[in-house]
Order: sequence, then structure tokens, then C-alpha cells
Amino acid sequence: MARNDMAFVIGIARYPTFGGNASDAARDLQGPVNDADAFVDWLKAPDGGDVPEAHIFAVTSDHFPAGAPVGPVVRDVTDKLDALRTAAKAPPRKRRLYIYTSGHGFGRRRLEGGLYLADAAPANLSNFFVSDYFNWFLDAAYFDECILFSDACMDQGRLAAPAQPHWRREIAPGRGTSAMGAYAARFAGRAVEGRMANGLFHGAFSYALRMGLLGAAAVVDPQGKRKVTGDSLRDYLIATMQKLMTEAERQDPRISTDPDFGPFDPVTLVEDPPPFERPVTVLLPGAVADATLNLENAAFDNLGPVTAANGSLALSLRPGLYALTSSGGWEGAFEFTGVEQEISLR
Amino acid sequence: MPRLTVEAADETAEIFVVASHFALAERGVRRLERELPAGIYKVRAVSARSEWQKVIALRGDTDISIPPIEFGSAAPLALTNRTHETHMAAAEDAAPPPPPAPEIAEAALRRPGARPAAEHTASFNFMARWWTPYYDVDPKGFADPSIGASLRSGGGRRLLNLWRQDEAQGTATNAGPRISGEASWFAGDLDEDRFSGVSFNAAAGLYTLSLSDGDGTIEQTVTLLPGWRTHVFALYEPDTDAFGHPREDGGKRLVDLSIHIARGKLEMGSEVARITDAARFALADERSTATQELLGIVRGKSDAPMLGLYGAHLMQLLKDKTSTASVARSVDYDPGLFEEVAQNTADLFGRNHPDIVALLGPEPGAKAQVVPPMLWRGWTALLERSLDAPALVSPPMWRRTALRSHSRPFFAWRTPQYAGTATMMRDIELTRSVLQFAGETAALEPDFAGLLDGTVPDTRRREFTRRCITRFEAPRSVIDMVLG
Repeated sequence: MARNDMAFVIGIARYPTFGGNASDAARDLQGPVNDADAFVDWLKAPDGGDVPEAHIFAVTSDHFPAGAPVGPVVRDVTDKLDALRTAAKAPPRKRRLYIYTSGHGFGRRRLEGGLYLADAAPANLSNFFVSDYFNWFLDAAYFDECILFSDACMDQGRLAAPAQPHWRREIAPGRGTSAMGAYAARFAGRAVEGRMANGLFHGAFSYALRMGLLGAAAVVDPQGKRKVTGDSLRDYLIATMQKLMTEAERQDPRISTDPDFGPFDPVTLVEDPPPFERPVTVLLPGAVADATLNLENAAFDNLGPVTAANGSLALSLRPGLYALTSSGGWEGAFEFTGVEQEISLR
Repeated sequence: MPRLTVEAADETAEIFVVASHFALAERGVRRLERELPAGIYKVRAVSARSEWQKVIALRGDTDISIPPIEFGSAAPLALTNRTHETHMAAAEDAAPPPPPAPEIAEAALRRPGARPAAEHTASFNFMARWWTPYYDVDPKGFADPSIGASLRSGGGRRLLNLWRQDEAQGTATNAGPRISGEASWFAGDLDEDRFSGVSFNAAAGLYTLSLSDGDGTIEQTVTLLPGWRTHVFALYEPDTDAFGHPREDGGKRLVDLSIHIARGKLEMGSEVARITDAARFALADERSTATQELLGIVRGKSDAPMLGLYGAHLMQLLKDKTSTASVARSVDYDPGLFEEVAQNTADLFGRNHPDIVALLGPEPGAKAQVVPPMLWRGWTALLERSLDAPALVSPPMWRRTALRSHSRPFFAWRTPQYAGTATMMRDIELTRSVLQFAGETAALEPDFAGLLDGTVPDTRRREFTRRCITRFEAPRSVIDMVLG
């Protein structure tokens, strides 16, 4: 178990006053609580983050049921952070901190963003400046590694200046902390959410992140060990996130189809993740609608014959690049990230 | 090993070759030619904010041609999306009315404050369009998208509303001596074509463009150069969302703004115009990778002032560019080339233009800037330069622009309802933040003790001021006011 790892997770879906005080002013999201819950599940999983439950400091909109005061607000967030900080300072020295956030967000400049809190309103945009807290932890060096995943818009909106950390800075000179930051959107773009293959709403970034951490982003190192590294996760997120967007979203100049990354030190996020293989249907042109085809992987290793029926082919694949060839000379190549249910070669 | 050759039609297209496990294998701009192990690869090309992809099986030498990539822009340029023929034709046909007949001009000159038409050496085109999803083509009851737009003096005084109030207005502008007495208003069928605009002659100089956005307006500087026409295109999202609900801020929202400066008519099929917009997005997204190729085009051109400005800033991005990509491109900052591009651009805009001062620094004895620059990076450069030239950016200019908008790469500021209260809150917020930062810095770094009581050494005070300029995006004049 990763006994010395800790996590701070926040997911805000309900924003009752984000549009003002009118009865229809709520600007709720549908993904953030699902995203935060999924990330916490991964953190707890023995074959995932393997973080002790007591080290996970999470707060989501679901902790504030209808009828209760709206939350999380600043106090809820700072209380959790205070508890985390106290636990982090206690010996032994901690290895890794995960910060995961999801909700309505803002960007101040590239790789500097934050989250609006549940009581945010046009006249009082209460917020949690995620990047500044992340940098605070880097300066304080309580951890050997700090990992940030931020699933929120990075547009500047109407916020004049984000709130600063509620702690005084601590600087631990000469003590290096490795860091990896991943943002759902480039500055000043927007992030999106949608209904995913599991039937639930998720942020496109968070869903791709979840798949990547579950093993879709795993690579094999020169020693033959499978692992999800910062590099492999970045490459996977770039390839996958836009596949979870609609065509209209991909064409919208305000929406960022690429995530953004930084700082970016080498880190290994998951050692030996579970095998990741998913079913997918490949749609074929008429010429090979019922043909027996040859399946090859990215290195042209022959994976054996597969037989199509009525123009479609049911396969179970690991993420990667593949080619199908027929004896008649037809060839179709495709990419599979694990999130596609159907791939058309027609 | 087989050779892969990829060639993109777009001059600024970034090309990525992705190998197994999604890892980047190669990258380039416009053209890429590499020997690679046989295998399956994904070829991606990115232009502005759109991309093209193809998965290929590389068994032998292979050539890939990438067609022009459609991207979304406020300008209805060829090969951009959200454009159709009526928009392109209207944008190309828009032109100011011809100069008045001599007897009419003479009569007009008798009006107090009138200025001879000969002094209206520049011209201005404005076109606003509604943005709707590409599949939403049904006729709708749209209002005039230009409503709320105005052209103001550099200091912010309203000169001319950019929408026609009613038919009775005719072609008259009645906008004072800087703007010609007549304008050409144009509009399509608002239900289907969804555009409107205006074209007129005006005196060259710096103006403020004010555009309706949400519950207020956003403003930014635009430049009218003598002998040139400034083309401004605004793309708007309606004031209701996809479900028909009113937006949170109750107003239509600006999606994109595109500015071109051309010798008169702007050809919608012009390659330079398309590159200019691609460069605008590259600068907005801080993608400096297209720079070398872009500058190959920019350096010899004097017919695309905005492209020169974007190109110079894209070059500067290279100086402090950090990339997390696993495959780096060999693009280096070339000070000689930067100087050449910046100087060419300065020749067009003038050495005292705020964007040029930001690029090249103030000349000895230069006066304080009274109008903000057009580009965000110009603004941040001016702030940095204010460390040595405190008068360069005054507290009133900072206050005027204190509530920022997100219209990168332009420097735009919001003027919401109750702007006075919001600006006062921003003042208080900045004062509190600077003092808190000073307290922290003095506590953590012994060299800085005395920051708050004024006993800190000058070198430390200067260093702290530099940090504040970066951290709070405020000029030295404002930081000095807070620190006393």
C-alpha cells in the first residue's frame, strides 16, 4: 500500500447562484461529483493509487444534500486542506500528494487555474485557486511528488483576481519535489462534459484520465514492466480526450480539444496496472463486409485472422494502433484508445 | 527503413506523427520527411484550433498530403467554418462611401469642428455575425448582431455606434471630426444570413472598440493606419443557450474577434489573411512552434501589419518557451530576425504605438502611453518595462483596464454594469494582496526585511516590485502607490 501517499479531491456540481439570484440562475454541472467519486475509487483501489482511506481528503457537492447549506464553500475546502496539512506534516515524510479538482473553473494565465466554489455568484465569485495551492505544496516540500489533475475551464471569465492560499508560504530550501500538472484545457479554453459509455456524465478529461490510470495508458519499460508514467498518461490524454467530445464541441473555437501540462517531471503513476482490454466494433466497407481479415498491431505483428459479418467486426483490443488487411489487397488502419465503442473504416 | 513524407497545405500547420502507445515519434511544421521503422502511425496536423488526423500503415515510402484544415474564426475567410458565401461576399464588398462631391464637402466643412475629408486617410470595416452550431441552419428571429458595438476615442469617449439605429439615419454618422460624415451600413437577412456591419473613412490613429458582451461591454484598442483599412470581425453567441435558457449574464456573448489591416478590400480567399488568423490563434494559445515558418512569410511582407505584430510576439515566446512534449522541435530564438520583423512592423505602426513600445522599449524622452496596446503580450511587456520607466503605464490606465476579459491574444477589458464599484473592489483587493505578499516576503527572506516600513535597500525594493508586477499584473506606478 502507498502508505505515505495522500490526496485532496474536490468535485463541485451544484452552483445555485452562479447565474445570479433568480430562481433559474443555477448553473449546475453533471459530471464533477461522478468524476471525483471515480478518482477516489481509483485512489483507494489496491491496483490503482492504493492510498489509505484516511489519507484521502475529499469534498463534493453530494456532502451537501438539498435543503442543507450550499457547499462546498471556502470554509469546507480550507478545513479539509488544514486537516491534510496537519496529517502531511506528521512523520514519516510523505511520498506523494494527489490534488484532483472538478467543477466550473477559471484560468489566470497558462497553467494557472482554479475552481469556482458552490456559493459563487456574479457579484462574489468565491473561488479556490488550485494552482497556487499546488505551488504552495511544491515550495513547502512536504512530499517527494505532487500530482495535479484539474478538470475545469481555463477561461478568464469575470474573475478579477483569484483568492490566494490561506496559509503563509513555507519554503523548504534545497528540498526538491517532483511535480506533474495536467489541466483539462489550455488557457483560455473551456473544458467539456458529456454522457460517457458507462451511462454517467463525466468531464471528457476526467473520463480519459480514469481510463488511462486504469491501465489504458500503460507502456512497457525496457525491463519489461508495465507502468503508467507521466509521459504515457500525457500521450494518452492527448489522443483520447477529443474522442470524448461531440463534433460541435471539436469545432467550437472556445473549447480546448487538447489538455495542457506543466510542470512535468518524470513520474511513475501506476506500477503494473491491471491488463486493459475493451470490446469494440469495427465497421467495414462493402468490399470486405464478410471477409476474413488479418489483424496486425503497430509493429506489424500478426495477431491472427478475424472474420467480419455484415460489414462489422467485433474485436476485443488493448489500446493502440492496428491494421486490418485482406487477401484481396484492402487495408484499413485505426487507433483504439479504449473509449471507442465503434470505429468506422467505411 | 521506409520514408514518410507529410506535406500540409496550410503554411502554419503543425504536424505530429504518433507511434504505438500514443507516443509522439516526430513533429514538424508544414512539411516533414523522416525515415521511420515500418509500422502503424497516426499523423495529426493542427492549424489554429482545428486538426486533421489519419492512421496509416507505413510499409514502404509513403507520401501524405494534408488538405487545408477548416478552423473557426470570426472572419468569414475561405476554408474556415461558420462561413458561407453571403458572409464572404459581404465582407469583401464592404467599403466606405466614396468621398463627397466637392460642393457637398465644402458645405460640410462649414460645420463647427469639421475636418476635411482628405484627413480621413484611414478606413474601418466592422462586421458582426451570429455564431450557432454548424448543424443549426433553420431560420431564426435574430436581432442585429452589431447592436451594442461602438467605436470610441482612444480615451474611451463614444464616437459612433456601429449599428444602424433606423432607416431614417440613412448614411449619416454625425460622429464628430475624426469620422467621415457618411458610412455604408450593410446587413444580410438576419434570420438566415445573420450578419450586419458598417464601413467608413476616418482619421488615422488609436481608437477604442467597444463590444457588447454579457451584462456589459468589453473594450480594446484598435489601430487605423493612414492608407490602410482596418477590418474587425466579431462572432457572437446568442443570449440563450442551446436549451433556450437565458445566459447567466443575460446578454449575447462574444465568441471570437478577428482583426486584419489591409490595403483596402480584404480578400476572403487570401492566404495571408488565413495565415494571419492562424497566427492569432497560435499566439492566443501560446503555441510558438509555428514561428520559424511563419516568420519566413512575415519578414518580407509589409502588407500584413497584424501578421507582423503576431509574428514578433510569437518569436518572443520562443525565448522563454517550455514544452512538456517528448519530442522537441529545433526552433530557436533568433534575435536578428526578431529585430528585423519588429522594425518592419514599427515602420508600419509608428515607433510610439503602444504595441511597438512594448516590443522595442520606449525611446529616450518618450511620453507616457495614454492608450493601452492591442495585444495582451504587449500589455504584459509594457508592465515589465514600467519597472525602469514608471511613467509608462499610469494608475488611471491600469484602473480603466483592471477588469480583464479573456479575448486573447488581444488585450481587452470589461466595463460591466456598476464598473465603478468593481474597480474600487479591485483596488482594495490589489492593495491587500500586495501588502500580504510584502509581509510574507519580508518574513521568509531576510534581505527583504523593511519592505513595509520603507527601510528595505533600493535593490531589494526593486526586486520586490518586479515580482509584484509579474504576480499581480499591475504597473510599477500602482505598486509604488501601495508600498508608499
